[in-house]
Amino acid sequence: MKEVTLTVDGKEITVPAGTLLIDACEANGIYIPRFCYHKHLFPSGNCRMCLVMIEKNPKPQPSCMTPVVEGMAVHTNTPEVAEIRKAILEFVLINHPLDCPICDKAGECMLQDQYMEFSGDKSRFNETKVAKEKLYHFGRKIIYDAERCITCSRCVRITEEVSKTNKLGIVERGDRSYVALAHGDTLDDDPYAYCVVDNCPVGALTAKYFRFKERVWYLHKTPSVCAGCSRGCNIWIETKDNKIYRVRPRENDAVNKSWMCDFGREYYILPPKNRASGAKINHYAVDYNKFVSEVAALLKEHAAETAFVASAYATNEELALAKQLVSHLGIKGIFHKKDRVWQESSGEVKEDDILIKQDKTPNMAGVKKTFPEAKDIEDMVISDFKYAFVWGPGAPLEKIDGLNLIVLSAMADQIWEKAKYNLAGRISSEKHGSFTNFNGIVQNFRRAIKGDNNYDELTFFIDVLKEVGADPIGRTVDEIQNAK
Amino acid sequence: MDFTDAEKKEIAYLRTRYPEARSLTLPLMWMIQKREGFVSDEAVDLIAAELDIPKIWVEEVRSWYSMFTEKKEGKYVLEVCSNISCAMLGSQDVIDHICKTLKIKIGETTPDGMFTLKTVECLGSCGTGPMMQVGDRYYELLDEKKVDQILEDLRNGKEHEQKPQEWPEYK
Amino acid sequence: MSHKKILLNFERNGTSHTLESYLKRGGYQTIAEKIPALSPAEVLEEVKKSAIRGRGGAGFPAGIKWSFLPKDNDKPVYLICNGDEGEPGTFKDRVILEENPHMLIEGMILASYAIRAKHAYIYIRGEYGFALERVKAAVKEAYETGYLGKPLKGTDFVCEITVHKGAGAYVVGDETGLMNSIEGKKGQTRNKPPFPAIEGLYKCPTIINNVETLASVPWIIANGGDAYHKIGTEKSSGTKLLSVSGHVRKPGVYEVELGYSFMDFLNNEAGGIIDGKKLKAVIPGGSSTPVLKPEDIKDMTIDYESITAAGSSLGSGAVIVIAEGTCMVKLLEILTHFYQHESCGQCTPCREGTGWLHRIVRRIEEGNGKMEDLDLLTSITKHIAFHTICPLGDAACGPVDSFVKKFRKEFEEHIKQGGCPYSGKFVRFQEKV
Repeated sequence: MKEVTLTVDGKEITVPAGTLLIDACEANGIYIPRFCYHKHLFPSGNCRMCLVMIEKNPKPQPSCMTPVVEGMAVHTNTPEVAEIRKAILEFVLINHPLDCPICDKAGECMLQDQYMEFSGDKSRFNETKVAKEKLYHFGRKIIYDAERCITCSRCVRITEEVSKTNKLGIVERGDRSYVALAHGDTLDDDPYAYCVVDNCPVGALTAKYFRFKERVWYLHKTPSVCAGCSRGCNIWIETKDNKIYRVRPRENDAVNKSWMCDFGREYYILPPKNRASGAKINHYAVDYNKFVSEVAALLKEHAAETAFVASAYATNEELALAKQLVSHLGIKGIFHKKDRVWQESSGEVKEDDILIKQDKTPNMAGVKKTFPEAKDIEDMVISDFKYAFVWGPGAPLEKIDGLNLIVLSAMADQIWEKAKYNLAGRISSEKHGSFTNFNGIVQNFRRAIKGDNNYDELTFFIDVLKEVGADPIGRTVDEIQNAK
Repeated sequence: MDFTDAEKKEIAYLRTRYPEARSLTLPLMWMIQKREGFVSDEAVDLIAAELDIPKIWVEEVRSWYSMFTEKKEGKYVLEVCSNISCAMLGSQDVIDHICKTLKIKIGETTPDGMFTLKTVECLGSCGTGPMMQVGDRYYELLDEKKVDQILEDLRNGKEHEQKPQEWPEYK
Repeated sequence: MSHKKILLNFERNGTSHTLESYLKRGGYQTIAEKIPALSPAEVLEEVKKSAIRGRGGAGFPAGIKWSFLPKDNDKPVYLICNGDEGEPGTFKDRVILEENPHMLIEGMILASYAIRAKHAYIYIRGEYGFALERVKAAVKEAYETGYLGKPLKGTDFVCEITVHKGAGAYVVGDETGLMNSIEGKKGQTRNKPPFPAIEGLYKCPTIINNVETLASVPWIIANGGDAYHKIGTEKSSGTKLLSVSGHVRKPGVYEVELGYSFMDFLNNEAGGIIDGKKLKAVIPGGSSTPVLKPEDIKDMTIDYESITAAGSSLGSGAVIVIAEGTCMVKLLEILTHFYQHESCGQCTPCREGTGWLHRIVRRIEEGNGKMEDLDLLTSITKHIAFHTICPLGDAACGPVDSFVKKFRKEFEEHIKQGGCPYSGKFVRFQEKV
């Protein structure tokens, strides 16, 4: 790729041709403050916070609108640039309500942070502020506060460029401007609506599920991977006291850029319905160790007549142990399923060319890689088997009805109810591991909350392997990953 | 709400004059405002559907340009220029006189729905101020007597014919 | 002094706008006689030679602007006539639109030919309803006669013109705002670069000129660029329409040769100050140009250089004359309100700053000002000017800086007295000619 060399604050830097100055600086350790610029949106140059001086140019230039040019000499640390930044912050703040104490954005607000870093000056504004609507419902998900808004247009550009619903716009003119939906419209049917909250540089857009719930600095952030579909969007799961308060996209240019869909988010923030719990045999709770030894014995005895149905919610590491177990026992009937199918009735998006994939499980690629011999459960010949080890929810009951079922699942569905042996598993936020997304990218995630009432599948497979006399290939995620 | 047949013909012609349909946003809004006196939410829907563009684009335009109105106003909207040249020549007197005569304040409509009074920025009639606009018609070189006559004529449905600007040199 | 009449070469007898009248005074002769013999490049060359500068306010030479079009270009080229005359004090394009529209159309045909424009748009501010009707009628006549919509005599070039009605927005007077408006968007301005000549209307190369500039082109082509350059001064060639308003006896639109003495213009054409009052101040080029005091304009001539040297700008040629007895604070309050009202809302310094300026000036006028407000005003303008996307930010600052600088005493008086020395009535001149 063609490269361009320029100097920034006297330092020579080389970046690919076509890079925007603001990114070129950042990549070389010089952070240019900004509000409207977002690396995954088209620049709009409206906030003026990123103005810098470029030699031979009498006026300061927006670094977010300026592609680098060979030999360009840029100054970002002159007194003039510092003064411009202070001035822009002062302008942004004159009509801002300064209600940081009750603002959900406080603690991660670009306006707060950049004011601390680039200004700190007292305001000279002694006039009445422009009054605007503070509680504008953008539907069931989001509330907009026009007074906090700095009309940077990021949210408008998200609905234009990311979700492509073109729902938001900025109406009125001058200092009366505010973000709005068309009359009667909501963001409810925008599948990426929460992204406007994540990427609002101030507290103008807040999510109803999180509003006033917790101060952001008390939240513990755990890197995770969304289990809502096979895209594997990178996310932060934010928790306190073992409770998920918030989920946000984690930037990854190769997978999800800065975005995630609302379905994925609500997968975490809405309390899951019908979670399975406990270890049971014939519907009676049993001791875990008893469960492990009975199931191990049963599998060992009936390996030839057992169908093994792998879960596309399982981690790669769990799958590796399961593979070891299946091989060790000589189980031949291996199947996979689509664990969760798209529900047309819920208004959920089946698939789009943005992020959402039709396969709503996170690790089908991992299943297929681990068990290349696995057949679709739809092709199972039921008369070949007497037992079925069904892992994960959503298997078609009619295919396996009548078999003796051993079910390992986090969800209590119809099959869970029919099983003879039940062990409640964990969902991805409760465990460490990795998923392989639809195009083969393997991504690790960390446990965000404890799954105390349920059993860890990884441990279960280790225990069963030991019970049947095998030495597990690893006892932790790391060990298993290194063993592969 | 729908476009009339004549309007549809005009729209078909306008489509040949611009490479992108969105360009018809302002012309169609004018078309509706001329007919209805304002651009309702229903009209926004109509325009957005006609041009196959998001409604919010149409609403942005309606709110951003100062000449489009969202709500029904008086039959005659008296728009008095309050900018520098007219102000220097006494536009405040004209405004005060209209307020007194019609018993309304700026921004209000007379109870009979006949007149709405507004102040507006420069209308490009600075040499003939004070002035006001009613519909497409400019009324220039206003004084109290002239205003009284205009109000009476409008009330009687007598609309003045448009003329080029009447600066004194050419009188 | 008698001035060459290029644009106002007609009698105001109520028929000047018709094709018949225009043809009688030699209209469309360039189309019939010159075009068959001239290549587009030659038309451009004549305009370059004329050195005519953009009459909208910025004063950029039109011929040079046209030559910025990309050489290897396969996209359509557009021509736009900027008739969004909105700078307070300006009403000169209105005369051309209402009373000499065919001259503008002829100029647009020539310009379209020179730049090989696929389509030309005339954007007329929404308030100019009458001008719009007149221009539309003239365009219709030109189509019927075959000047538009058919190949020009001796060429294969067809000129198409569409009249587009604005809807009330000063900032649309900026070329990129105007393009967005034609595209059916809010008339918010675009960051430059890219400049319109490279990427303008519909992302295609676009030339945009003021009404007065384009209406001057037929004379330039008929008489030659050199002949035009001989009028006026070396650097400010040609004639200029001045719209004079305020406290003068004979307000109106006048065509003068550039380089004309300002005081002569004020006393002769404009008829001097009304009611025998003394001159207090002049805003020489529309509301955004800095105000000048009588001592600044004594030796000033009406051309780009001289007015710049005097500390202001020729701008759109809108001369606003202010007589003694006028409250400058009140005038500034009106102007700052205007810029707050017209700020498009897009970029921070202008959106927030114009409203801040207005609220401070209004407070001073109302008697609640403080001495530190005056330095605050100029500090705010320092942070608006040149930091915005478009020149509206700069335009809002010109009057504030110059009013505070030149009439600081009057502002201080307001603050000390806790009110307006003119009792809030900054002027009540009812005298008319």
